[in-house]
Amino acid sequence: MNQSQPLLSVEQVCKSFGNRQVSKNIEFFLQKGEIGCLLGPSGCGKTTLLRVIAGFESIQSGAVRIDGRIVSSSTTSEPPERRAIGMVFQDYALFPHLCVSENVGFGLGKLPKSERQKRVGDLLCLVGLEEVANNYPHEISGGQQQRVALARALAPQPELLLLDEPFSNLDALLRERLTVEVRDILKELGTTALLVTHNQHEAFSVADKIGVLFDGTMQQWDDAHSIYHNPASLEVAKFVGEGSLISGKVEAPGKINTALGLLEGNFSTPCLDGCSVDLLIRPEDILHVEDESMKARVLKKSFRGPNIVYLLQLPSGERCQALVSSHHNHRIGEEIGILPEVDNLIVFPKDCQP
Amino acid sequence: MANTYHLRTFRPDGWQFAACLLAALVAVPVAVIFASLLQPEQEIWSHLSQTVLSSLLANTFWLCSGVMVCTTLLGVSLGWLTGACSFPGRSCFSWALTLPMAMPAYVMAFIFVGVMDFTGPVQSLMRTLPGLEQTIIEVRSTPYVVLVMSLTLYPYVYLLSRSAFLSQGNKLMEAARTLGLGPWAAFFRVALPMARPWIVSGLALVLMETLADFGAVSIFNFDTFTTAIYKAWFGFFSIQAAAQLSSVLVLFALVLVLVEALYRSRMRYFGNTRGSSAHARIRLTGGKAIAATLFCSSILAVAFILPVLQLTLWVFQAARENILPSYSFEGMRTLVLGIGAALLTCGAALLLSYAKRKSPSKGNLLLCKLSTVGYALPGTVLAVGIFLPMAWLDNHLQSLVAALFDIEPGPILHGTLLVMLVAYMVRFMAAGFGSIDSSMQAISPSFDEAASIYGVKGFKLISSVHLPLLKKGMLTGLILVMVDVVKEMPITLMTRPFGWDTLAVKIYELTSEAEWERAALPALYLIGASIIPVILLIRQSEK
Repeated sequence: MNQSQPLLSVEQVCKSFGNRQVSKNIEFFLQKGEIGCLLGPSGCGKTTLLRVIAGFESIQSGAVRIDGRIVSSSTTSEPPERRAIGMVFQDYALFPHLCVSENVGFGLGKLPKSERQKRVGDLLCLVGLEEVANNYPHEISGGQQQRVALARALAPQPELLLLDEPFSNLDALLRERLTVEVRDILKELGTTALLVTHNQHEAFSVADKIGVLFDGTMQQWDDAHSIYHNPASLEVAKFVGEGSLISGKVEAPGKINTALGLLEGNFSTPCLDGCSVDLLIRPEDILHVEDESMKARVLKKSFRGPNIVYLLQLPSGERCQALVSSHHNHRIGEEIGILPEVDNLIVFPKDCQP
Repeated sequence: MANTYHLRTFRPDGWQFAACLLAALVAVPVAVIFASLLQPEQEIWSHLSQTVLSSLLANTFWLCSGVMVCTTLLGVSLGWLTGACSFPGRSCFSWALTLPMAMPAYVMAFIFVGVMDFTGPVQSLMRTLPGLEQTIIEVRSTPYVVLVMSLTLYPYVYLLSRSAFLSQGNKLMEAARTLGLGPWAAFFRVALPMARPWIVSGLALVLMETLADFGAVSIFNFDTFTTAIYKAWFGFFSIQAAAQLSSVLVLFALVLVLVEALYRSRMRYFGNTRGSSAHARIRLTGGKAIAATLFCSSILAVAFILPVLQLTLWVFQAARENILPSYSFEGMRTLVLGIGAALLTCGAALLLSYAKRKSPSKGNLLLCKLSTVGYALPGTVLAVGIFLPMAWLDNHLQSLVAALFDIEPGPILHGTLLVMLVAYMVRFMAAGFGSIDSSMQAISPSFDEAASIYGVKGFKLISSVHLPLLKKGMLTGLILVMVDVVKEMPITLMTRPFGWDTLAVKIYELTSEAEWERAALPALYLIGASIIPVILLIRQSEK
């Protein structure tokens, strides 16, 4: 197999603070030009991992390579300034005593002045901030500060760009716009980047590869589609997207008997016949069809503009959600007709007795 | 009914009037000094320029530059070590390094001269050793004055730069590292420039103190404007020459006030960057840690511990030789003056603070600024600035009394305690106002509104709501002013009524006769008193 060497490889990294282990055998690889994302709830160790890659934290075992070169291991640790990385901090960490263009040009000390000015100008143009070039950080808005931080990190043309919760300080509307903008900029430049976030929408819209972290362990390293439709563990399934679990029994390969009837599709993990499993039902797996014979009672509803997500109670007593066009407005307590359409059967075997 | 209610409400005009009066009290000495700047007397100036002026300017220049360089080096390095690094003993040094603030510069000066003088132990020792005799530097020389002043004044720069480094956190340093800078380059390009407003403010205060210093330079026979003003007045009895010299000094001082205000306003933008709460110190290990500990402890030793030990030693020597009076009269007078001035100053500060609270208009804020600007005025200048209008007022009062009662009265105001207390008040208003006003600002206006719902208004409001909340600030203000007055030398020396010698005056007299052993006890008293506000400061900054 002739796979090109990954730009970033994190190999069996273990990191602990005192007795508390915050990274347990973490391993993943990022190819050149890819955007990766570490996703997980707060305290799962994702920021620590980013700081390990940046060189702010040492590791107890394992190795980190950038472009094949070992930068962190149990014995060595390259200082951050020699790792050819750029970093966008959660609070941006703009230098308050320097104006926008001086901030962007901060890491370009080795270039001659004219080249430096040109590069700063190009970057400010790229992020659309030519007009505030001479303003100080406290004089510009949060969104602009974020873009300055990005331009500053990109200026020395790092091999790897690290972003620590870069959008968490912005309001929802701006966040959505900037995530797309940032992705476009990174893709345009072909930058390899690794992002840390607790927001799955951010991860889905920016990343090529997503790593889901829980409690210091990497649960899954995969693309967005697989993370959502083929989660490797129950934790991943619960953390990413919405959904509910109902129990079922495997009848035959690809067939499960549940309270929703006999469902057919591709198993996420192979199961033996006769197994008891938990099946993850996503809201979009349940269609609402008015005159369907299978009925469920509306327990709760949450209106989301184009859609309504209903929490339904099945005749078996189990619950699931349904994503329904908001034209279909039902009252709480009403019985509505449903049609399950589950193609990917996300199963978690409970007790497998052949 | 409506009428009686109206009578009980506050009249803000009263507060306003009091504030104006206080501001005027400060403004008068400044204005008098300025007036003499605007009316330069040719004769005096030509005389001064022929005699002392060039050496005064040169001395002041070298003193200020030297102290500036030394306090920056000492203050910033110590501030960075204790604020941003971790090494053995750091948390202890962090507060202990402010202790030299309790050492009045003139005490440090006489200890230094006493030890390093021709008859002192150091030179005596050096003369016995062959070859070292040539290396002896005359103790009364510029480098030593600079050294002594720097050792007592560096805490201003230290405290401010330490809080700057503390507030920065290390996020920005990390950002600099990811942009390709090594730790030292990051310090010089990020941490240090960001701390600049704090450092400059600290330096402005240091230079104010340097320009204002009278006691230390007198001990070194190092002529500066303050000693020249004193000599012009009490040596040549030319109050005009003293006023002319004062006008130069007041100009320097006002420049420093402006510089300080400018940089203080910049702290807002440079300070507390968001999310810097996770503050990781730079861990010094091995040789670096030992060097840091040694550096901090040697500064602490030279600037505080050894001088205090030397004073104690002298006290014992004097006691053995039975030349040690108890100084109880001087002590009592010092205490009376301190308490009197503290009460007067804090009373005035309270008035001012109320005026500001009642209507925080631009005009009132300016009045507050003006009323507290006395901290920048050297005591010698202030003494001249108070004396001139007081003498004028005295003359008019005397002729008025003479006309009314047909008697020939002596001086009425001249040489009374009142003049002295007013001078103290003008000089130390900032200390009292600062602490009182900060607790006043903590009393939200909604407290007043809440109280008014229950009908609590006017003086009842003050006594039942405001005073309990202001108690701490007032106590701090009283202590600060009292200790400042206790340490004060030039104003006391120049305006005191006959016989009102304080501890500071006693030290001045004894040290001018090189009676180091006998000056040691009053000096220890002063250090003991001065340690109180330093402890208050430490406790405040440790919170």
